[in-house]
Amino acid sequence: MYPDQFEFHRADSVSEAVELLADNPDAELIAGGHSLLPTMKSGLASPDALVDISDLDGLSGVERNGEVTHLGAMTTYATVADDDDLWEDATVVAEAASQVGDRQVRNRGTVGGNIAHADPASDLPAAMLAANATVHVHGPDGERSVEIDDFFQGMYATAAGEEGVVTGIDVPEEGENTASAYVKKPAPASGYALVGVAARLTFDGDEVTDARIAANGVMDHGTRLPAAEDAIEGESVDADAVAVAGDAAGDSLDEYMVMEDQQASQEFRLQLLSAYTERALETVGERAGHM
Amino acid sequence: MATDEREGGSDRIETVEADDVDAADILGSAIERQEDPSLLTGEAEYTDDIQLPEMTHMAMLRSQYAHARLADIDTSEAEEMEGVVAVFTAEDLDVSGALPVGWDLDSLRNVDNPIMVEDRIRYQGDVLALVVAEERYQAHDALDAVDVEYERLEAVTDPSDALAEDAPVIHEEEGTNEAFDWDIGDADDTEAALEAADNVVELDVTNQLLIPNAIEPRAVVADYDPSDDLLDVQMTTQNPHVHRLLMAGVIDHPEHRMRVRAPDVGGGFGSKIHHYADEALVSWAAKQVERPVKWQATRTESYLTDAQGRGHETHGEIAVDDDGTIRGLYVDTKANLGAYLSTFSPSIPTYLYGTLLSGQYEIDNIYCEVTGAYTNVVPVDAYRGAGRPEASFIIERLVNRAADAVDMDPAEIRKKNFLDPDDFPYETPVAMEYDSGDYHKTLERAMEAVGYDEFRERQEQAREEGRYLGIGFSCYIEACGIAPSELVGELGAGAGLWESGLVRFTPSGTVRAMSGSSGHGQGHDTTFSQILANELGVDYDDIEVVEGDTDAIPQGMGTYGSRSAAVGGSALVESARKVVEKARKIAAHQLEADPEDVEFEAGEFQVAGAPDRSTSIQDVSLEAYLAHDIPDDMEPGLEATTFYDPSNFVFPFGTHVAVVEVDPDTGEVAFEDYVAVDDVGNQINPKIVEGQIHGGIAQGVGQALFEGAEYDDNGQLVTGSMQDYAVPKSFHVPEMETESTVTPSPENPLGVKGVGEAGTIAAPQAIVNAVVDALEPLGVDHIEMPLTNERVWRAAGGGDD
Amino acid sequence: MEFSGTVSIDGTTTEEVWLALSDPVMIKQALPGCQFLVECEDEDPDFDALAASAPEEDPPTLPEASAEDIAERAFEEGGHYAALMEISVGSVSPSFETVVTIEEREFPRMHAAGEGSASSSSFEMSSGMELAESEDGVDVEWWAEADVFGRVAQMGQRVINPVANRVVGRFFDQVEKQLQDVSTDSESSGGLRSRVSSLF
Repeated sequence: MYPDQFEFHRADSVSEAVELLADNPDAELIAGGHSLLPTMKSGLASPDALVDISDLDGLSGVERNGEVTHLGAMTTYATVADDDDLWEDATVVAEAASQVGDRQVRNRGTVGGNIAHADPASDLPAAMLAANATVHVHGPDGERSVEIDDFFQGMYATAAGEEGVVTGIDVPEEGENTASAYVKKPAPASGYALVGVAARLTFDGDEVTDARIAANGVMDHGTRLPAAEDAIEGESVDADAVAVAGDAAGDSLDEYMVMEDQQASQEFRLQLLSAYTERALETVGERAGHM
Repeated sequence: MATDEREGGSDRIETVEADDVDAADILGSAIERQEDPSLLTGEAEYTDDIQLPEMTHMAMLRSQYAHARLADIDTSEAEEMEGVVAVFTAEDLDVSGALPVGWDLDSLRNVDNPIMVEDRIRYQGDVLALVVAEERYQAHDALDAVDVEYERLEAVTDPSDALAEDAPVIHEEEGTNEAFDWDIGDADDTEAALEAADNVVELDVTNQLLIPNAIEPRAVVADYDPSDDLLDVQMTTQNPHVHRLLMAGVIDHPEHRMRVRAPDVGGGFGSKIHHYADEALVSWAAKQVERPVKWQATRTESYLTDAQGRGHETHGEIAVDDDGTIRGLYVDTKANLGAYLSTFSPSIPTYLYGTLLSGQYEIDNIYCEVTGAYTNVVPVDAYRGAGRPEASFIIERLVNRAADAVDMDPAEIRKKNFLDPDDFPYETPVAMEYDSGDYHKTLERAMEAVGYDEFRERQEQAREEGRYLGIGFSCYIEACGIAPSELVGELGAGAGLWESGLVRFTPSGTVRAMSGSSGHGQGHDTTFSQILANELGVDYDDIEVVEGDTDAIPQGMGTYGSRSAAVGGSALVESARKVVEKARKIAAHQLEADPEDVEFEAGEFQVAGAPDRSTSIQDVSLEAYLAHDIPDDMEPGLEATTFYDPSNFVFPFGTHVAVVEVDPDTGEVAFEDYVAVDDVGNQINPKIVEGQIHGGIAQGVGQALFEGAEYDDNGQLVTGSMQDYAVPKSFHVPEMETESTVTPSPENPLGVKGVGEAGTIAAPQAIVNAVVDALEPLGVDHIEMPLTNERVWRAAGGGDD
Repeated sequence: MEFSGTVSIDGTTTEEVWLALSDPVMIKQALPGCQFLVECEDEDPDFDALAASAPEEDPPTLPEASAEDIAERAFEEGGHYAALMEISVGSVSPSFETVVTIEEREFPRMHAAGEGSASSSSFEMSSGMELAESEDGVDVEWWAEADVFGRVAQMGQRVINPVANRVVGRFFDQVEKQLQDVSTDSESSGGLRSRVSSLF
């Protein structure tokens, strides 16, 4: 379809991008464009200007820095999904990246764009929450790091705000006693997550000592599931414990705000959340060799 | 998640290259399609690829509301915008400007269908204004500047709601939304049969509205030359001559000065048969601005305008005795026609539906009533299957329910009621005369392929383990190659349903063949060349098939309803035979023999018993054009034209079986197996047949599990794009095992039956029957399509609401 | 779409709440994305002119403002009010030119209906509330219905519900907050309550 007229600026640096955003409140950043362009072509979004940051140096690539993998914001999903080391170090993130959209989308869309856009049904937010990532943002006041738990604030709203540029994501290494997984129930039409559950569990022997479990597609932003985490912590990943955690998954969510649309009612979404939380935990259990 | 490797399924049919096949074997060979290289390498030229000098672009303003009065429209701002050449509204139309309907029924309330809205908007696709501009983007920007004042009216989208007393009336002059009231069969006999039978089983089903989703949205390029009043239209059409006839009437342009051509067309599935308002407007606009005008629909525009399919609310009753004998069938359907009548819409839920309700069975008493309803949705018309999927669905679901009622195996009850091979020709209580068939054979083949007995054992065991497996049968029959013209005329058709075929030799002995069919992905060039190579004994490569140009081809009826092989192919065969006969006479003359003594084989004319006295058809062709030495009473030249009018429909049939596993906790349905045994008569190209079955099944899977056009209470289309309307992706379609039996049709010289729609007709009920079978222990006896995960979960007992 | 709920405010009276909710300025501040909300003559105002003449800063509302000021500009039954609603959903931010008509305003009930249009989308809404005394203060029972048309409805189904929820939710959260402020203030001063009561 036909977007409205817009100006196009190619930023030479992150600071220039930040400035351009500050100067024009109606401007939008474009990287891979695979979240923004569909909204523009469908006529829903009409930014006055696009600020292209896809070519900026140093913002792309997967790099190991000690116990942390740094993902440049402009790294494509495909690159992240193809990184064997990342599958070892932070399975949940690589797995989520591998399930975004389809091959064409994965070759163009970027991980930074995904979390900055923060679509309620995209795949990376829950994975990043489970992985306990840190997000680097460059805003009008300079650079800062944001803990992932503080990053997703609402529908399409993040701590980066209107004028910040996400420049990179640090994903901590899982370590030997930790395993993770991302399981997704795609909506048949859009391929977005009707429900997507990310889980990262740390074990001491059989027992789960730390659980980070998060979901996409259920609320208007990627969300931790504290009730499921509490249910599985201190337990071993056996069929009973997994069932209890699955049942508890929706407990800490404000039921009024659970997403409801043609694809799934609130009630069914919560049912899927339980089922997929179980699947995520089972998968982690198998990977940890405990099931 | 996409998978690259699939397991299971049958071995795919291997293709061969035409060069590697002997002429004698070419008919029936799975040769590679000659169309594919250009389609696959981007060389194909679609309507939007066409560039003409001075070409302008057109965009149309559609309505924000489904039902409203157009109180005011102000185009002044749009007219001033950069690049805008002209802006038109209904006020500017100086032509008849009303779309005709191509099929009449006795009770039909034929309503006006204006190409632009004067004062009443009846669905969101109605055109309020059109803009012609230098650039495409400029045209679309200008639409935003058109100021419209609406007075919104209450809308109605379901046929039963539309037929209720208090419904908003769509066409005020009619005073009602009832478009027609039609029936077929014997009401009294059927009522008596239902009363007399041991059991009557009832079922209410909705056969949901579907959006066609051809890969190429509709488009038109119109070019008008005022100096000779010639209008040249290139467009997405399945039937150029039909479009020429209808469009000429709508815009008052002389038919003989109009040319309609189909460039490469990216699929149709019925949606490109009908003549739409936007198409007429492009041509009309070209005449106004005297420059070429191009319009390409966007996908979302397509969703608001392309004729949708199905849209039935059906109540069915089947009468069955305790021993499983089916005694009678009663069907009452309310059919959604949408806001206006589309070209063939009155025929789809009537003659293409009610007449198929006998299925493969011997049922003595059938009565069907159909009420058509106007609503505020997109006009509904033919979509792959057109009436037959709806018929097949209701019978096959009812037969399954009947089996349940008398505690009989679903395969057994079918076998018990099937027609036998020696029952043919068989006249059903709903006016069809079936030509030939062997239904037991396809069912048994399918049951063997799927391992039926062993499946039932596994199903038992799985149930004990808390897993739910199910199997579903669909024994379908359908009628295609719709004909003969006299009959369809009596039934209300505004057109004859014959087909034309012209076979023309060139002096050097090659062949050009023109067909009134109009392929849009089916591979006609390949199959028609195979047919002619076989008939004429000419090399496959020496044949060129021409379709889709009203200037080059005799009047034709086009491609839909699985008719092109049966009717179009037969027309070419008849012409080929006429050509051979003329050539035989020339050969005989030159070989100084009696034509009766001249045999024709593999392209050679030979005097019987004297093999050295022979001449090739190529040589004869040259002779025909030299005319130096041809029979005295004969004209020069070597070509023939046939307008072939078949004597009856043809009836493909078969059995599809779906095997599924259902997870009651998530409603997820996974395919374990899908077997299709189809009898489409003789097969010209088995690879193409296989492809048609695959594609048809994919669309049937779409209807069963994923698709459905949804409107809110205000008639707003809410499944407005592929983000919300779930066209199945490759990984949604099961691995399919396809087999065929061959019962040639006695109705045409090729013995073919038509295959284009079979898969779509057969698949939905196979799948629904399978899911219901899987969940039977949970008390499920019906689930409405599409069987989304949520619907299946709820049917299986999930949730409270 | 349909929504409903109850907002409870302690330590206040129905008259106070009624006055507060009758203040176009307070409503404008509570509505997320509302650029201005002013009275207009008819149902088809010139939004460009209204935008130009809309005041830079809002006048004060309760508890700062006097009850008389509020009463003067309070919603009137049959009155028309124009508002520019900028709904912001990530990169999608349609601007709806909205006209609301007060269909009924009779203590303790108010009912309004409105229509808003953006470039190729529009909505219609209907909303009402009824005040009742509760044990500790006041309960405001409210309901709203909305229909969406055009492009947003055709393309945006995935997000329409959550966005509507968010708009409605935030509005009543803000209303509750403002009313709490009013109630706290009047508790300490007591003066407002008596002034408000005298207006009835």
